[in-house]
Amino acid sequence: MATTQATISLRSSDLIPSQVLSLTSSKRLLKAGSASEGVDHLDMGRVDIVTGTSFDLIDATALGLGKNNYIYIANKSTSESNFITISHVDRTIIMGRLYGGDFAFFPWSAHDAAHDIEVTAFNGTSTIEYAVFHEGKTLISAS
Amino acid sequence: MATTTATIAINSSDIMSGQVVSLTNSFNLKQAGSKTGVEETTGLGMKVIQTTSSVLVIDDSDDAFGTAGSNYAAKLYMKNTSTSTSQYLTVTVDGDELGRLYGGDFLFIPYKEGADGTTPFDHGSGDVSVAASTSEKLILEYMVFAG
Repeated sequence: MATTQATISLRSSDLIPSQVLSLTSSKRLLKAGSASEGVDHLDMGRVDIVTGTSFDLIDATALGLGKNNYIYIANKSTSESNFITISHVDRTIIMGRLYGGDFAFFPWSAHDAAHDIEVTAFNGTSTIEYAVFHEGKTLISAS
Repeated sequence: MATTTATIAINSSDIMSGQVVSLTNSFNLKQAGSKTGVEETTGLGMKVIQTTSSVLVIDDSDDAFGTAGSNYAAKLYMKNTSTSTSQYLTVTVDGDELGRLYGGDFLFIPYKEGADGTTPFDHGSGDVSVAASTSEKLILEYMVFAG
């Protein structure tokens, strides 16, 4: 049983006049419905996403329905014009764009094979770093 | 021009044997394709979710955030402030389930508003809704940052 802690902070002294933004949230990443058992599996990677093709970054079929999966994705491009679009269900559902330097962190249901996490690069190759903290997955049998 | 900084840290000393995991990242939230910082926010909102039916949180149709083009790099923060580890909020994007926020869980995702002419993504992220796993009271915090 692992202990994995995720903490986010959002700060600005001038986005809202006369109101400093200082928001912090921290959470131990737990298995679905558990009060004490932490997620205990991890997949990590760093890949280059070239333009012109959409890629499955994370395969839904190998993860689990009803389990907790937490995904971190960062676009490490240093160009503010390069971005990736994160989508699923064969690009019909768009989460949004990660421009160079941006990151995202979210829970993922992975509830069927159509819900792979897809990425598509625009305006140039983007280097992506990602991690999936999860409860375990079913490995695909070798052919 | 405002400066808004998002920072994340994900740490574990034991999810891998012999290898400490320590992910950290930080960036200033900018308008799409620009060095200019985001200039709009909803502020921190709160909704009481007390139904297993879907409750609209972000309405894609009202073009509420920023201006066309600059708002393609919007960001959405959401948190289930409940302390329950068994009850959760199901988050849907454009009618499709993204994930579940159990008590204390949060998300920080990009959000794109409106069409942009980019095949095959010539539409926005769509509505964002939540539904509770229970009819008991759960509290959702949310905040949008946009160009």
